[in-house]
Amino acid sequence: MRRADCLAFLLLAGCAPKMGNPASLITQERIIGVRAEPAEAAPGDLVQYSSLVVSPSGTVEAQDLSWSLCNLRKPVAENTPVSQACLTDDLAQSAQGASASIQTPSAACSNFGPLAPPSRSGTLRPSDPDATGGYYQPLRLDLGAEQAIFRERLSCGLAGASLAMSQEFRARYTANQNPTLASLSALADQTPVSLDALPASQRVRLVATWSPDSVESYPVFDSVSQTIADHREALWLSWFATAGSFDDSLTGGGEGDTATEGTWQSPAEAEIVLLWLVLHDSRGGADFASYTLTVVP
Amino acid sequence: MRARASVFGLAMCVATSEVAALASDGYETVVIAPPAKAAGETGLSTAELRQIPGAQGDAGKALENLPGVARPGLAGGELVVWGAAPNETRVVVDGIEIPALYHLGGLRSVVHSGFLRTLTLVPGGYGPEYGRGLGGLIQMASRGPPVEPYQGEVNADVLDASFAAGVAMGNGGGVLAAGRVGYLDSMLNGALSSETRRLFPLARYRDFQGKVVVPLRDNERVELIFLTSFDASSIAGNTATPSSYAEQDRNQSFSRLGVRYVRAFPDGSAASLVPFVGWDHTRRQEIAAQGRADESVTSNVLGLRGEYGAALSPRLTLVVGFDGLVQLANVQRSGSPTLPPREGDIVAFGQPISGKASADTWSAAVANLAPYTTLEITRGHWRLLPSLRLDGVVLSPNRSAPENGVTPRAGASRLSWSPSPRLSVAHQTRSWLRENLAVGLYQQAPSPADLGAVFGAPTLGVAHALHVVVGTDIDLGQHFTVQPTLFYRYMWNLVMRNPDASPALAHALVQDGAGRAYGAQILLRFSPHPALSGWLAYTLSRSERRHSFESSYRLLDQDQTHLLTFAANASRGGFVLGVRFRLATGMPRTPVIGSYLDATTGQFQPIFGPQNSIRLPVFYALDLRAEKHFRRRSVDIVPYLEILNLTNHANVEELAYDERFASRSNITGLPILAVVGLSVRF
Repeated sequence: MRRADCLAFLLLAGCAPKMGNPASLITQERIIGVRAEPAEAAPGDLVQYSSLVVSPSGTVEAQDLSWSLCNLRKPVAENTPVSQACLTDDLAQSAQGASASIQTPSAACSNFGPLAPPSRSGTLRPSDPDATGGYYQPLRLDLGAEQAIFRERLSCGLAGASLAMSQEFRARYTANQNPTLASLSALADQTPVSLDALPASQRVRLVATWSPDSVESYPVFDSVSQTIADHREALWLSWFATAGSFDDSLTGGGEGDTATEGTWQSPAEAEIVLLWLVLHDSRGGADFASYTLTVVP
Repeated sequence: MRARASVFGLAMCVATSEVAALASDGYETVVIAPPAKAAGETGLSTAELRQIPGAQGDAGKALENLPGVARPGLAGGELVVWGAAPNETRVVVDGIEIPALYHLGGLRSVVHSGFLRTLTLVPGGYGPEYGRGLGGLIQMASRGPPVEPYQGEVNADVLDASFAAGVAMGNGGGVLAAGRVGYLDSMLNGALSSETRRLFPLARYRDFQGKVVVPLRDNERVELIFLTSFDASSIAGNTATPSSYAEQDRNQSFSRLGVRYVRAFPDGSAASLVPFVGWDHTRRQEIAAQGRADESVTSNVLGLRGEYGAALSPRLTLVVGFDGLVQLANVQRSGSPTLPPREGDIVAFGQPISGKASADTWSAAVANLAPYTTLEITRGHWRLLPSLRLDGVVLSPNRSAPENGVTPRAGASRLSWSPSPRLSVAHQTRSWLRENLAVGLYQQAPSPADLGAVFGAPTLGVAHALHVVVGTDIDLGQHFTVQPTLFYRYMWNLVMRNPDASPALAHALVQDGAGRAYGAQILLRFSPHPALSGWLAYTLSRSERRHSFESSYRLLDQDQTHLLTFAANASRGGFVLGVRFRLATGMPRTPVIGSYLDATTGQFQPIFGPQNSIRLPVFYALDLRAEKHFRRRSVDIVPYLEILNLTNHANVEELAYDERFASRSNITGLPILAVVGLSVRF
């Protein structure tokens, strides 16, 4: 928090502390990314999942990585993307290894989609979509004490739409594709610098781009107005490095953007720094890239 | 005034206040530590409340120092009385119900202290003339016109500028007006980052109150009352990064226009009638890269309150009345079903908003029509007030199921009648000792915002509460009173989020919740010298909620076990010196026991431990206030200085977590701080 903020904020509620290592700093073995192929699957489809597990010494081929489908619905009362029980309960392991092929459950669209689960006691509430109209099948990853959740986007159709609206939606909708990272460049003091010769103790602007076709258009159904509107995907980037510090561990997020910029404070001394980028699109797609940065005096 | 008031009895708040208000009370009237009226009830003059350190002259803010009132949290503005959730306590001004006591952020109350004569806190066990709430009652009584041709005040401090003025027009008639404009937001605009402003959104606020008093015959008058308040806070212009809000807007506004007719008859009976109309609007919008949440509620309000009381015999007084309120609301909501948060939600400060997004618009009419009657029976040292309030509640959402294609909308209307018997008993054991008992049933209809088919449940009905209050008033000579009180409140049919993983359609909320709040408080009031007065208040309480009868109790989000307040004022030679010491148990929080990466978004999410199983550390603060009165002809110039948190104790206001929810730290509140202000009274 800036000093001016603190001075002004003293009047009201003091200052919030800065603490802990930022999420972008890799100090131990961690799961930092998951990608599914295809990025959007229908119930019964076989999906190839790949992980990005890293450590301070580099990318890790995590053979001990456990993959478990979680078929527990999230209560409306919970304020998290998946049920807390997906993290705390014992789940049957679906696969093990750095990558896995897992079949999407046939009941995925009734468990997590617009189809209400079967019930003898009346109609049940279907799952809520996200802002892009998407529904997701949760998948838990375990690596020692590390846990991650990946949510595979489901092709399920619409809830609360008329037949005509559903047909129009189906005609306009294209299943999500994973985005593709294109390039990374660096600037120090507004001057382009090579990733092999980044200055020490400098604020370096790292600019990442992705291919234009990564930004897909997709329709979203508005159940209130019973209309369909087209949107463009928003993409954002997670930054990870073994040294230095990022101002923000996630950047981007503007709808239609094809690049984002992260400000990185380079280490004080010359060293080799490993950098990983994980690109996310707003419909659950992902891409990874890794770079080796050389910091020079 | 007291003789007339006694005709209407101990707990007849409306009748008592109406008749009392017939006498003009010029601005100079200062009632020091008046005796409490009923078990747990505390009534104070605004003049006394305004001198409490830390309130910057705001009587409504000073109310937080009364026994039974929990210290509000970081965001402020939440009035928790005897363990009732903030939305369970009702606020009325001259019989007109208003939706909030404080502006957004809780820096100021919505009614200027210069407009008010008294504030009365009834934490529970109040009479049948009020309802629609499971918790306590805040009654604000406006001033009468000034005795002198004109009186007024102008105030300014670091938060806002305000005025209050009155003009006498003869025969007790006159005009009163007051208003306030906050400018702290403008002063700090640009100086605070969006991160800081997210911690404590600064509201732009303004309010205005007006009153025209037209005397008719003797002891008969008509008053036109207007109340309005407007709040808005906005955090915009932030880069839309996935880890922060791009925009956060909140609005809270209301207006009320009412007519109050009051007449006291020569035979000692009295009547009052208060019809009013109003408009409420609240909006909360949060936009982030992961999605958005937006809730907007606009309501038209119609109210009618009427009462007639007459002595049937020297020992018997009958009061009959009617209390009605109709709310016609339009609600638009989209985004996460768990935003805005409600009591019982498990959430960590700074947690990313859920990416779930639904949308719905609906309208709902919520009407409460309640005739009531009270019989006051006086026999010897006993005074009994059995009463019955019959709450008729009409709930009429326009949709009973979510929008579904071309299926026509179908609403549902339900009428339910709930009798609310109440009993107040007082026994004057000695001239210095009086015991009080109040017991009764209370009802609260669901908010129209909870009657939506997607975010709420159109089938919600009325929630209920049982209040039991036992207290004693002990007069220790002329200058000391002690008021110990025991209280118990049990609530059922409380509205909670549906905990099921597969809830029924249109049942995102359920009405299976129950709650209990119990404890004891003691209030010692003293005025050993005309220039010295104050009180010492201690409350021991526990407030718990549970999702259903099968689940176990957990602490209310705002539960505070110990509340200790000492407040005193001393004046001499134009100086007034005030001191306040507060100690409060920290509010419960749910611990984060782990975290995981949501690899789909790149954000971390917390894993929670048992709900509300840890607490923030104990809060304590010592505050001082000094003001000096300079008299220049007919103008009183009053500069004041407040020193808050004199001991510079780092009070923890919230728990903060790092991005990965791996380490925890504290957000601390006010350090030692000086606040200056100026009031000019004429």
